[in-house]
Amino acid sequence: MKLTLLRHIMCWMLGCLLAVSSSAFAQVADEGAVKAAFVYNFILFVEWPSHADKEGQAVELCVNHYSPMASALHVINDKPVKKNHLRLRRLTSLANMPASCRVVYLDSLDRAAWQQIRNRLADTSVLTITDDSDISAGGAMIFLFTYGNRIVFDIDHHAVKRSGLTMSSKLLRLARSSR
Amino acid sequence: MLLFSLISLFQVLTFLLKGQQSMTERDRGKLTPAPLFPAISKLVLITFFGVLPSFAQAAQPDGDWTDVPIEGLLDMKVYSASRFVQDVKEAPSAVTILTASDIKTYGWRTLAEALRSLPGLYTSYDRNYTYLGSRGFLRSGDFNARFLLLIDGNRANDPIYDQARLGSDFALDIDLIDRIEYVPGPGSAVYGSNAFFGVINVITKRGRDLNGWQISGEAGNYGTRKGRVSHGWKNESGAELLLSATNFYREGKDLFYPEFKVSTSDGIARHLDYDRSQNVFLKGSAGPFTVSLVHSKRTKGTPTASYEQEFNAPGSKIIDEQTLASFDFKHALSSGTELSTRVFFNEYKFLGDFIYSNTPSTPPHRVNRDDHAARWWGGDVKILSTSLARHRMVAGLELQNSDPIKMDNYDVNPYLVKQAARHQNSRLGVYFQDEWQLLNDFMLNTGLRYDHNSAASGNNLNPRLGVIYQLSPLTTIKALYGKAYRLPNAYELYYAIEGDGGQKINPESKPEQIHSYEMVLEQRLSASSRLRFSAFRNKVTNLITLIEDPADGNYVFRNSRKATAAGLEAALEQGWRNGARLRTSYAWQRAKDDETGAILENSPRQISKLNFSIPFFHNQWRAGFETFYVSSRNTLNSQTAGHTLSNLTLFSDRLAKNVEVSASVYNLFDKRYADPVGKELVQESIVQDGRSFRIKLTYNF
Repeated sequence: MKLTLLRHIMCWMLGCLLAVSSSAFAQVADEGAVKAAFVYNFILFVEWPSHADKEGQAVELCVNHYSPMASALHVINDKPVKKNHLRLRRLTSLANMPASCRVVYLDSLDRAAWQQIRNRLADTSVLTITDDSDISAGGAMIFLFTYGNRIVFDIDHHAVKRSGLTMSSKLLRLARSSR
Repeated sequence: MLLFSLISLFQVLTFLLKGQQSMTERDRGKLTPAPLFPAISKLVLITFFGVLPSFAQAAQPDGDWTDVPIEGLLDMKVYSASRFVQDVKEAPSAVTILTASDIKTYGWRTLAEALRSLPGLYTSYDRNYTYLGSRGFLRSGDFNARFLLLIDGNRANDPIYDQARLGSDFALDIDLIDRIEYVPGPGSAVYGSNAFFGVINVITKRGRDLNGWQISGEAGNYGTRKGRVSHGWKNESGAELLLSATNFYREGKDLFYPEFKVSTSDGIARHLDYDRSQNVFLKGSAGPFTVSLVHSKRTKGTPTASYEQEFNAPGSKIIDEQTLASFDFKHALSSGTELSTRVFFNEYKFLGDFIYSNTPSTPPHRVNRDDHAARWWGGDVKILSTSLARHRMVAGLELQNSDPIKMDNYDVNPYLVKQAARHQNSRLGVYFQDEWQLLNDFMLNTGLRYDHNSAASGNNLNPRLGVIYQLSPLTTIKALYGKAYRLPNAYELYYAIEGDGGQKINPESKPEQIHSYEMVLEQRLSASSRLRFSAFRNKVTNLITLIEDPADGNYVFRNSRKATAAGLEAALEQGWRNGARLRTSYAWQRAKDDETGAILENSPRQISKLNFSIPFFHNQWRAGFETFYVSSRNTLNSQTAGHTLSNLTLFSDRLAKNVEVSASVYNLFDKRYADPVGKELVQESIVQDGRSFRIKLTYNF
């Protein structure tokens, strides 16, 4: 009996090893990495109103600590943004995000808290980016999603306008839809 | 190539274990380690030829694409491995999520088939109902009363049997499921009674998920047909509506039961394995309001002559009918606090026709009928607050009233009342839960619920405690404790019927209890791969068991057993750049009766699983392959052999615009296997279906 067990476990572990060792076999980019690059581009193409754009302060990008995007976004931490740089903040709950967040990345984990987050962000100039259709439908500014095997984005023009942010016309042009 | 190596790996494994088993049967105790080494060398070969080439071209970091201009990003092809691994909310509880796309990829026909792919879960089918087992516990003859089934948060376990219906008797068409959240472990600290081994929360699709008409048809062998018409609609302001109707019919096959092969019968049950169901579903939402209505009726022939019925008697059948209606309201009270309330009204009807012979055995037979019905309604209020820094708090109150609970039993012709029982009960529960992020890498998850029940010595307090420590950004350790309970249901308390195969009431029954301890280690290996180890110990007391009272030969439910289950689980999830995905798990467990020391019935020592899917033919198709090994299980007096079951599904939604097609083969290698069953059957185990097929076509317009 002991032996069967040992054999079974060994087979299983070898199988796993085999699976893990063959991590990748096609030249395609990781979704998370490409999304992070999109987020960086969005930040470059957005102008904050003067009262929110304080000289010498890092542009804080806030994300749910448990979101799979949190680790992907590390790539753009410390990247230059105009005269400044970008700083990633991983928060355990976005519902309690500090006022210093200038960009928020939301995913399906934040669905339950989205109403609260949205109320909190009313009358502020915080750029909201999401890859969740629910949150997008609930008024996030940029919806980043996979279409076929490519990533495209929608812009909610009204939400952007309400927040006092300005988006470059190039971004609006490249969006799949901007309503 | 990888798919092949995985399949062959599992084949080797299966072969090995089968070899081992027959050897054990032949000469017990004289085991030689010889078969291990050929297997390993085979594995090494597979690794070498099957995987090495791909390994060589891999191993590059996930990449920094910020130098690419945004136009270039829009042109890049991506794979979404991380979403696959996202599955589990990394934090407080170990929720596993199965999605609509998993259901399509693996061709799952029932909720039970979907749940069976999760670590440590296994099923049993007695040709009336499908039973779910967890971590070594599957109580033959109960009705899944130790799992709480929620449909969009609404309790679907009825008050008579507390049954979670997971087979073709599930209230919904499985195509209407958006996702299935499975929370393993005791959940009574939040959900009250029945959240004993786990909570299954089914989230249904919404109007926007269909956005138009959808018709779907499927056909399979054993005369299986299913058709569905659905319509989804959404307007500018966000209001949406989903309507759907399904009709399912399976003719079944003639089944041979050697136990009934006697001079007067050839042991074949003819035309009694039919299964048919109808479902309708409506869900609408506007602003903070959601209304939903589920109705289903399922009729199943009984080919097994359960409860000492006449064998191969036409007319032996069961009918389950359920209606679940709920009305929800969600409202943000402040920026950090959300209120949600719900009122629900549910109804369940059961009709069972049991055919008994007269003496001497000549038709017409005596038809004995169970005519049961229950209504349960109530409401709940829940407040979720994150306004206190580092806390996520939930407080709630639940009220449920079940009235009437009707359990009638009578002979149909001549009409003779055997039992006319009317009962009612009410439950009230208050609970509080807090996720407290004490330190950046340290979280405390506490929960407590108090329940007052009008029946069965009813007050109960159930705590839960979880300590979650983030050792590094990639490693999480959790220590979890929880207590849960299950009230005896109305059937166990009050059902009585005289005569052969009869049953007695036992209003003195007490609730069952479980204490559960678990340690979990979660290790993220890369953005697209995660490994999870878990060690658990579950202690169950006052287990309500159907026993035969030696005094009078009648069945009765008693708090007669104590049992302990301990075990280890390991699970790996992995995604690849080309879109291939793997979920595999291994569970070892030992569930013993505390008094006799015997291994429980229907409790496999080992379970291993593999679910692998891969796109092929220019991403137009996806192949989903799953294979499960379940080691031998004790039946009441004997044993079933261990078995490996494999299913293969090919799915495409890109062949033509708006069209989805899929083709599935279940029990691919046509393995013969049997599931242990309860005392109400003469058979020790019931042989399951051999190889079967299904094709399915869905059209959106």
